[in-house]
Amino acid sequence: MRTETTDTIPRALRNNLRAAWGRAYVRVIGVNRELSWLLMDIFMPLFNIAAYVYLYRSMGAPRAYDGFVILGALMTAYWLNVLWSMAAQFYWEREIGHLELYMLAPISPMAVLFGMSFGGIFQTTVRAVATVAMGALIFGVRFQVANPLAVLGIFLLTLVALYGLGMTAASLFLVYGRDAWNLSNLFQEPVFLLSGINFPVKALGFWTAAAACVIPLTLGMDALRQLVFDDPGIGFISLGWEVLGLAASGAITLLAAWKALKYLEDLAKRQGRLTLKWQ
Amino acid sequence: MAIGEVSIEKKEGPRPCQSFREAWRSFAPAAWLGWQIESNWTDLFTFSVFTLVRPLSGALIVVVMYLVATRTNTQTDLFAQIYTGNALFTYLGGVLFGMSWVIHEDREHYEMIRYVYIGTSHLYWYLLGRAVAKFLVTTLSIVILLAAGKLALGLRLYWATIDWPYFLTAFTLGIISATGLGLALAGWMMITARQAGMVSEVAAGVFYLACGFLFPIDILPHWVQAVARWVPFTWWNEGMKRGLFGHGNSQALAGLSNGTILNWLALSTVVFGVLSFAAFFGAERLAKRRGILDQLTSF
Repeated sequence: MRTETTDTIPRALRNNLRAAWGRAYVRVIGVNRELSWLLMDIFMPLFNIAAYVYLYRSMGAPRAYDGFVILGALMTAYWLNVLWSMAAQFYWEREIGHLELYMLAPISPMAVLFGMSFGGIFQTTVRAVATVAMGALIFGVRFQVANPLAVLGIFLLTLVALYGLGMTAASLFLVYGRDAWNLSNLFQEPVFLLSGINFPVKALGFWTAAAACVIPLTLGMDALRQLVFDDPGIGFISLGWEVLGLAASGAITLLAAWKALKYLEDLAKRQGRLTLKWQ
Repeated sequence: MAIGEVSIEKKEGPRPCQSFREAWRSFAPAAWLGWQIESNWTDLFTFSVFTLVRPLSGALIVVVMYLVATRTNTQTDLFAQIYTGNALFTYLGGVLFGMSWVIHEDREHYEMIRYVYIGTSHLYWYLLGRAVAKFLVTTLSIVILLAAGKLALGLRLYWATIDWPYFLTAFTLGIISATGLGLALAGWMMITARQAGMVSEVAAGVFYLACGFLFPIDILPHWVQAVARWVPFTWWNEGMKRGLFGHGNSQALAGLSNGTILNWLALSTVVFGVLSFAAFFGAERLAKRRGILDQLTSF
């Protein structure tokens, strides 16, 4: 009996790790499979970057503001990936018939979500880094990174919190039909506004900015801005609080993802909507 | 034809130039269907919030950027130009995405395009009908955006000084251009599988950048300005702003009379329209020849 248990646990773990890698693999290998996607993903955001950079310039803003736009474009890529390739993903998977296979397989759906996250981060990083490098080169933006490790640490914390949120949202969207599409749309511009994608979030005023800190992107953006721009008055709150907030946010969203997945998977099964297409 | 044989004479599909009655039979249900798809996924309140929140947030991003950069108030001519330009651009983005996405949605998601295509009216009328719902929703959000700008931000836009005939002429010509381009993109969707959404976003991004909706084209590199002058949306933006404010925001175009702006808009609309329609019908023929009109790619 004891032997069986010890055998079972590693096997379950192994299955889940393989499932996570399998789900991530599609996105990792998919980076270069569709050249038109790669090119569009890299060049498409450049138009928005250029539009906002020229807008700042036309208003006579300091050149440092160009950097806000570039940094904003970097994090925008991750947020869009969280929305469309995490939150709405189970909705798409249901439409094309993969979701039922995930549920039938001897794995936890959390493994699929983790795989989606790793794959999504890899996929987005390749594109976002290329976009940001080109944007910085074209507009002559220089980031003053005094502490690269701190930047990397905060960046990774932000990603954990963001993708944790995406995993939670994926479960929530499972019970929605076409609303999933609309919800993803709804969480674009309002989140860009509240998280201060193109400007220091403190410009929104204390209370609005404080409320916006519920979104991990707000804390992450503000912390990164403080680290890569040489402007002591740019931050909303101190870096220490932001790191704490991001860490807490990451833990809460991952726990919420696990709870939400169990609850909503059960709900969707009971309502018979787990495989229901074209709602 | 022997008894039991099925006629397959309709080889090329219905012609686009049909009687008004025939066209209406496709156009009106398509407009109604478009409205249902846009709105029936939720209750009226949620739909209203959804319709307003996105454009309002987009506008507020520009408002905050303006306040951060200029450190002045919003009762300036510069702000009025930026705010209205951003609001009016919503039409272009909405129409381009709305029309091109229909192909992808009906082919891949609802799997209905084959039935629409073999109907009595041309697909062209169906697409135009579907665009109507998007146009109406966008109009509603723009009206509210401008009203909010006027009431909450003191937008310098005065009802009495608007040159309505000029504005409406420019507006109509621009919408025709946008519809033409929307059709061309819909054609592109028919012969591609995996660029859904991206193509219209790229197109919208290019025009957002190059046509002066947010800032004067004068600030762009010269070669971009030269290209922008061949695009109807540059003249559309200039024409609408002249109608609304009495002047545009570009020094490079300031020397041109209102009539010249409208002439350029009309000319570029015709050229753009002809090219767009040719692209749409060419793509349609190609898709039919390749047998991919209703091909599912599970994307």
